[in-house]
Amino acid sequence: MADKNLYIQHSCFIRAGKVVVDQSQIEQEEDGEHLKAFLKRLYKSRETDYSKFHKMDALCKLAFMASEYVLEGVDWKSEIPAEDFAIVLQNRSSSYDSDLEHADSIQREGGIASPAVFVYTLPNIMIGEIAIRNGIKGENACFITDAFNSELLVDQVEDAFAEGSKLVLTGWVEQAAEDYEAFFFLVGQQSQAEKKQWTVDNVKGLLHEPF
Amino acid sequence: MEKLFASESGLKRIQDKRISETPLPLGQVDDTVLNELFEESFGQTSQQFTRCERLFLVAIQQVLHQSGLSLEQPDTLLILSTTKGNIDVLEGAYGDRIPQEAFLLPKMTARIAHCLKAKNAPLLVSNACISGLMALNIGARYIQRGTYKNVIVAGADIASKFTVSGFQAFKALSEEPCKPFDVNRTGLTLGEGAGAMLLSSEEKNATIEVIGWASSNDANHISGPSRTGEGLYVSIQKAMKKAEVSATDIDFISAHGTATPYNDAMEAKAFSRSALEQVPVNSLKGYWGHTLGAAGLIEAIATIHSMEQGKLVESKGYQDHGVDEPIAVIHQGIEKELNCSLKTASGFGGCNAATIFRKK
Repeated sequence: MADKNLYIQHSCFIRAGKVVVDQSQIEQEEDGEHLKAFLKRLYKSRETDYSKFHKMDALCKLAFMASEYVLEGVDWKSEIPAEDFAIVLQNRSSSYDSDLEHADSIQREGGIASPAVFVYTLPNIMIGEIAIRNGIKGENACFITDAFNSELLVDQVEDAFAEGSKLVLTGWVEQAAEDYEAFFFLVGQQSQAEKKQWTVDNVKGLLHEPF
Repeated sequence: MEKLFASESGLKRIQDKRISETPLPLGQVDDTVLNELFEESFGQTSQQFTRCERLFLVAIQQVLHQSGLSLEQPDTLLILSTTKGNIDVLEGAYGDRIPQEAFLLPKMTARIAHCLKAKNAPLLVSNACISGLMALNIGARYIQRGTYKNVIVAGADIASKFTVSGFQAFKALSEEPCKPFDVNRTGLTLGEGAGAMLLSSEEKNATIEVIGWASSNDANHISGPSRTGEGLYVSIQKAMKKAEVSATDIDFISAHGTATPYNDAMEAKAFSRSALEQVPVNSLKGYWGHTLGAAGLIEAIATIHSMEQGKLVESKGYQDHGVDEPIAVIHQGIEKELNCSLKTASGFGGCNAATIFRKK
């Protein structure tokens, strides 16, 4: 049932202090810049006005920015229904920062649990944030794996298409304190010449490109 | 199941400072019982595993034992589902007995895989309160695609100070045992537990088929359900389409029914929009609480037992109708032939899932 006619429409990599969109570097971390400051600068550089961004934890901010880059200029709403747009993500440390923050708030003398922190102690909240921002209503799955697993992702995306999805935003969003890494792919059926097919080899190829 | 059919709740008021500063009703798994089951199943001390791992392992081992299968077989995959897994490791529950890194979900997965000698690396799904049902849906898809002959789907979550304090901060916990769909409902009751289910492409002695599944996002709010029941409605529609059934084919709905005012109202709306108002519906949260990442799967297992035995379980805690739509919440358990059932779940992040089962 695998649909072999799937193509990477756009990709975005945020890692090692660089933002690379469709294989071109567009932003770079400044010397000594911490992740949160870097993400805030990325957000500001795009002149978007989305106040929910400031409430997100670092994991969601990272996922949000990667989704903004990969969906930039994509007019999917005129082509497919919102429920046919799926999001499938993977990460390793789940909601690490928010977990520690919530745990600290309840263990600390006089500490009080905050609903604004607790809600981020689930890794799939990053999918919810992207869905809300873009009005995406399709299948949404969040896998926790020890490392980026391209085979799993390729399988899952093929299955989503086999069951009627027309577009899938997929990737790996890992973040724990200052360690972070986001790879996003927008996978669809449009096949212009420059677009790579959605295969394990092509995903791995993009991953290992130097930048 | 006998207790469910007899409408006996397992919720108890507990006073345990490790979980909550104030007493609260909870669906707790007795540690002694769990350890006995563990030691019976594995013939080794339970001390080297966390509570969540023991819950997972005991549930999975029962399925392996009943089916005669082994995870050492290359055609068998294990899919785990949880929200917080070994979160009590972070709370220092085990001292030096369990390494701190076991708090990370991939480490927990690896520890479970090692204990069961799993040939294929297990998958782990963490999608808030739909995790268990999502794992089932993903497992069904792997069977359909033919990648594996057997998939064992398991879900577990523990009651911890971490989750209790979080839901308390949301003012989402009820002082009394929860009352899903009741006019006097005041919030949810947490629970803990595990479930495991074998999905197989081999018919053998199977009594139930998984015929439809779907998930969808509300795209509305990260911690509140959509007022129109949008995502749940979409999930139900997609699952019915995949199953090639219509609303009139559905004999029973096992709802999520957390007993928060907004959740139950949202579900009633989605069922009504799906023309399922006349279909008997229950929530099992009044029996064992909201088991978070395990909930969808444990309740799907109960659904299957209901279908096999032809009995509908009373929706515990429901007395006076408390949602706008006239959905058919089950007042009293009755015998009924159930050919086709729908299980739903919804969770933080705006996620929803639906699964449809048919009796063979």
